[in-house]
Amino acid sequence: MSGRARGLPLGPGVFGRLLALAMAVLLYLAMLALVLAVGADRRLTATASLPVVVAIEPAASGDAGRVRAELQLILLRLRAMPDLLAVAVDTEHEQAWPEPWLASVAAPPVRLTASFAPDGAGEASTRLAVLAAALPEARVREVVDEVAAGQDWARELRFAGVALGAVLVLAVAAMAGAAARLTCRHCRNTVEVLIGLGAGVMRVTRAMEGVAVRLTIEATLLAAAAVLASLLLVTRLPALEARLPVTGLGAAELVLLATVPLLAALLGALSARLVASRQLRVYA
Amino acid sequence: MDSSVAVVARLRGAALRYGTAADVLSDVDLTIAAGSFQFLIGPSGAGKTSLLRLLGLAHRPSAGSVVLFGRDVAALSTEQRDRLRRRIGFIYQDLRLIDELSVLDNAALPLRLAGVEDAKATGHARMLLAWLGLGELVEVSPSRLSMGQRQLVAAARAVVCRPGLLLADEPTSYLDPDLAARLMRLFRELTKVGTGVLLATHSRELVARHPAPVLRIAAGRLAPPVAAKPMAA
Repeated sequence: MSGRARGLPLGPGVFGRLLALAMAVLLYLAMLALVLAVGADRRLTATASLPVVVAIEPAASGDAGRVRAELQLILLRLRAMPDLLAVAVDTEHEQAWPEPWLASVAAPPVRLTASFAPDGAGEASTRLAVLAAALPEARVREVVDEVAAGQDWARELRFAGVALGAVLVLAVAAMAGAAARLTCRHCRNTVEVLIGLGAGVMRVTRAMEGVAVRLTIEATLLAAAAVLASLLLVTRLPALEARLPVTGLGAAELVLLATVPLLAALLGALSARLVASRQLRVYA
Repeated sequence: MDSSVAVVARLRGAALRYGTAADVLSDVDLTIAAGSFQFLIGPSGAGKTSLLRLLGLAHRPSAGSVVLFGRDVAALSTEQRDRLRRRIGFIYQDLRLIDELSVLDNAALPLRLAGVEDAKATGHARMLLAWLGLGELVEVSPSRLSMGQRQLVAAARAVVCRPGLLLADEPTSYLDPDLAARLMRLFRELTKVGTGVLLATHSRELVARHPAPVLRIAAGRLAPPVAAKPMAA
C-alpha cells in the first residue's frame, strides 16, 4: 500500500488538494500580513523618539497688540512645562522665528509652534489634552507632518497585519477541519470498510487527521516559499522597500514568522481531530 | 435451539433508528449459531441491510440488546468493538472495494489490519482469489473488473480472515448461477469451521437451490424462522 496515510488507504482526493491550495494562499497572506506588521513595528520603533509638534493660536484675533500680549502669556505658561523642547513664532507672512525674538518680530505674530519630548507611547493626543487644559482660551492642534502621518499609518498597519494574520491562521485551521471532513466524504465507503474490518476507530481518526495535517504542511511549505520570493522581490524594489522595511529581519521576527505555519498546523490538527472524531462517533 | 451449540450473535427486542426518524428495525429477536447458515429475505426497504449493519456494529441499537460472541455490545469500549469487528466478515451490497488498491491488496487488507505478516497475508489472499477464479487478476485495480468479478473480490475480502460471523448483503446479485454456486460452496465450507452465516437476498432461485432456514423481514420486523425446504427437482 503506497502513499497512504499511516498505512491506511485514505487520501484527500481532488477537492482535498484544491483545499490545500486555498490553504497555501491563506497562509501566504497570513505571513505577508505579519511581515507588514513587523515592518510597521520597526518603523514605529525608529520614529518613537520624534517630538510632538503642536500649533497654539490665541483666542484674540485682528488686534495685533492683543494677539502679541496673549502669545506672551502663553509663552510664559509653556516655559513652565518641563518637556518643552522649543517654541517658534509664526507670522502672517508664514515666517517662523525662534521664540526669544518674539518681542522684536516686526510682522504681526499669529500663532506659536511648540515641540515637546514624546511621552512613553509617543501619543500626541495625550499632549494635546494636557495643553488644552493648561491653555483653555487658546486653540491647540497637532501639527501633522509627513513623519507623524507615517506613524499613524504604521500603527494602523501593525494592528491590521496582526489581526489579519490571526484571522487567516484561524481560517486555515478551519480549512484543515474541512479537509478532514472532505477526506471522510471522499472515502466514506473506505472509512466504513476499514472500520468494519476492525482497523480501529482511533486509528482511522488519526489517519484522517494525518491527511489534514499533511495537507496543512504542504500548504505551509508552498506559502513559505511564496513569502520568501515576495520578500526578495520587495527588497529589489526601492519604492516598496522604503515603505516596508523588510530587509534584515531579526531572529525574533523570523521566529514570529515561523510560528504562523506552526500555529496553523497545530490548530489545523486540533480542528481535524475534532471533525474526524465527530464524523466517526457513530462507530465508537 | 440446542443450548450446547455456541451462539455467535443474539438479538433481543433490538430496534434501530437513524437520527430522529421512525424505527427501521423494531423488536427483532434473532439467534445465529456457530456453523449455521440462514437466508434473510424481504422486500426492498424491509430492513435487511439495516439488520446486517446492526449485526456488523455499524450502528448501535436504539432499543433492546445485541450480543456478539457472548458479549453485549452496549457495554463494550471502542477498542473492544474494534476487536469484535475483526471477527465479522461483511459483504456489502455495493461491494465497497478500494480502487486505489489492487485486487490482491483488497483481499489481503483484513489480514494486514489484523497484523498478519505481509508475505503470509498476500499468500493466503492469493490462494483464495485463485480458488475463486481470479488468480490472473490479482494485480489489477478492481475498477477494471466486471461486476461479477468485483463481487467475488468483495467476498474474498470478507472471508479471508475466516470470520466467526459472516454477513452477506446480496452477495450473488451479479454472479451467474455457476459462480453463485461456487460462492455458496465457499460459505458452506466456512460453516464447517464454525462461521455463522446470514445471507440477505432477493433471489428466490438462490434460496430454492440452497436449502437453509429462511428469515423473513417486513417493515423492520422479523417473522419466525421458516424451516428449510427440500431442493426442487
